[in-house]
Amino acid sequence: MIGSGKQKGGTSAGGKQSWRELAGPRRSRVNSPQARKRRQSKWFKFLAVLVLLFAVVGGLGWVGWTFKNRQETIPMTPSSKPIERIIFDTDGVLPDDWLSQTIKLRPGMSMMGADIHALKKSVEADVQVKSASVERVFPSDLQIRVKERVPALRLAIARADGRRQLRLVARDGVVYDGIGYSKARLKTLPFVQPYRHVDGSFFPMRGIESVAELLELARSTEPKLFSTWQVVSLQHYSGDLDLLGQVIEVRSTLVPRIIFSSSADYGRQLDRLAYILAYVSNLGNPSIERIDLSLRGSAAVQFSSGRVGTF
Amino acid sequence: MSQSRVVGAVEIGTSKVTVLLGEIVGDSGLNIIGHSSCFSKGVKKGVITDLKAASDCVHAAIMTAEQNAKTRVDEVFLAQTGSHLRGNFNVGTTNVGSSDSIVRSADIEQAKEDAKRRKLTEERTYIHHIQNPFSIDGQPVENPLSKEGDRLQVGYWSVHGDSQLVSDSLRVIRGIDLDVSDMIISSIASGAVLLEDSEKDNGALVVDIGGGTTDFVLYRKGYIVLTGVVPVGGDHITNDLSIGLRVGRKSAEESKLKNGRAYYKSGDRDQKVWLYGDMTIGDREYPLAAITKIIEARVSEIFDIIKDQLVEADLLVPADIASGVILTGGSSRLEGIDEAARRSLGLEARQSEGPQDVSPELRVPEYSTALGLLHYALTGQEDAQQSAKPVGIWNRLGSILNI
Repeated sequence: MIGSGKQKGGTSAGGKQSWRELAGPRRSRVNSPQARKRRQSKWFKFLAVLVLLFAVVGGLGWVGWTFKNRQETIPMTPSSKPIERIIFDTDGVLPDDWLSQTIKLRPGMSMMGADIHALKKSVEADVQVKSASVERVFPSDLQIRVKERVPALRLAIARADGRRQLRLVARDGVVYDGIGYSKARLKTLPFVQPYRHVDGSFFPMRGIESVAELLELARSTEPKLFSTWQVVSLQHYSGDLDLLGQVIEVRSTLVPRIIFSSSADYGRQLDRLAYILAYVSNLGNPSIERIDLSLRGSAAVQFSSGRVGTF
Repeated sequence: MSQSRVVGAVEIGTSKVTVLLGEIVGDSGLNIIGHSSCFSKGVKKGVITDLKAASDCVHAAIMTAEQNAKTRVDEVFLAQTGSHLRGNFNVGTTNVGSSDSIVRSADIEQAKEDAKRRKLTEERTYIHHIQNPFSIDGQPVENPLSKEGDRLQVGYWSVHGDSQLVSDSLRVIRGIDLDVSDMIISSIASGAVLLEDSEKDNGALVVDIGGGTTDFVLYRKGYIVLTGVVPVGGDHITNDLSIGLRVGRKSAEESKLKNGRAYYKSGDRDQKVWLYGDMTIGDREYPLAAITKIIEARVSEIFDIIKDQLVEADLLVPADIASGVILTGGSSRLEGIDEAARRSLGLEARQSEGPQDVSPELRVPEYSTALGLLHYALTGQEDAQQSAKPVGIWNRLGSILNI
């Protein structure tokens, strides 16, 4: 230690009238270029430390974010293992052939080499596929799950060369080729005569969901009757349910024209139709030209004889 | 991990500003980590006369020391000098309060308060209240607590200065965004570092001869009983030589250092000395007596003033100043200064030797005050109030990051 110990008795001057009470206002301090330089240097250092601090925090955040977003592609098992099997699982009718034509995997491709995002995209490129998932099942399997669209109607398109082409219409109005369906299945689907838009085109087909609802209800509640339905005409049904007078016309082998209202309850209309047909059957099955179920509170039946009855 | 703080010891002298930086580790470790000094500006006879010039000089010295130490000062211990400093001896008295006549802490505090009660005029401010021994019923006692008696007395040597001048020196330090943790008069700072406890107990007179002033402190039985400032210093000797020899101040200073002696000897009349000694044009010979007589006159004046003050206070008792006179400050390097002191004061005298535990370059009389300030930074003044340094998250952060 420099010097001797503490001064005996002490030397401090605290209390009243001490020099410690001579604190002048801050602005009264005497400035100098050196003091300004020191002050600036102090602030510069402070700001530099602050910037560094932010950079470190930001850097750590970025590293964390990057790590989090790269977790999916971090190999959890050795990436050298090749894909040995593709498990194809569909809730519809698409065959395995379709899959092998849709996705192209080079022989011996490793599990981690397969770009599952690209594979999913290519599977979903076929409109018959509503959604798909591709999953690596380690050690060596690739599982592809597909949810398919369900056809509600058949659409016959006459090509320019005069040939007829068959398409299917799903509940959401999507028209697609339809791969893998059996003929028997297709025969159960009525044809559709689509609504023609103002510009003369048939697409997009709107409101098919409501039509499909009618068909499914008919199929489940009146299967015999439904089996006679051949064509569903949407010539007076634009798909806009808010418009009045929208009707769905069904042509069947029993009755040439059955008219349903798209805005009324399909169940009641079908019940009324079944009642009319049963009633008419009791009358000896006179030939019917048209049954209009779209009228409010009653149904009109036009017989081939020209007579009209209301039920 | 021990906490450390960097303290700056600043002495604003008439001819030189000295800054020492010390790192205090824990409660007892002190490392001197930087120092600087520069020629003083705007200071006359220890008093700041030009705030701007003095600030430029002091701030530059502090920053140079900081650059040397590669750190920043946390707090400053400031030396105070100047002829505006005065002292009074006040005695506080109290009747022992208890019925059993046993002195209790409350009695001691009462006596102390009574001694410090003297009010100064508006323009004066206290720098030190230096406690002297207690006495009970007229008998001196070291520690009166639990002693028996009816009347307790304590003396205080109180040092005060001109409020404006003291405030000016504080403003200089605050100008560089530093707080003054403590202010110690130069002589007390020097005494603290130059004297052993035993020397203080035996009685000693420390005389710090600076450029513009001479500060002194008298110790008796370990206590500081008198301090004073004589407004004469080494610069006055140089000035006298300049006038007497009709040479410039620079030549006079060189001549003082090269040929000067603090007292005249009869042989000086015949001895000739060259003014410059390098045979340049204008160099001339002088009788040594011309120089030594001029110096002797000034040096004697300094010691005579000190002697007068000691006599006035009835303290010039050689038996009570057994350790003699210890001379320090830049001008104490003058040859024969100890002999001059001996002749004038009638006491044993010697030139100071700096403390052994500092580097040789700091073991010189010019640094004794600054070293004394560091001593006070380490040990503190008894009863000293802690400086009201704001403690906040930014201050703590700044302290950690050294900004």
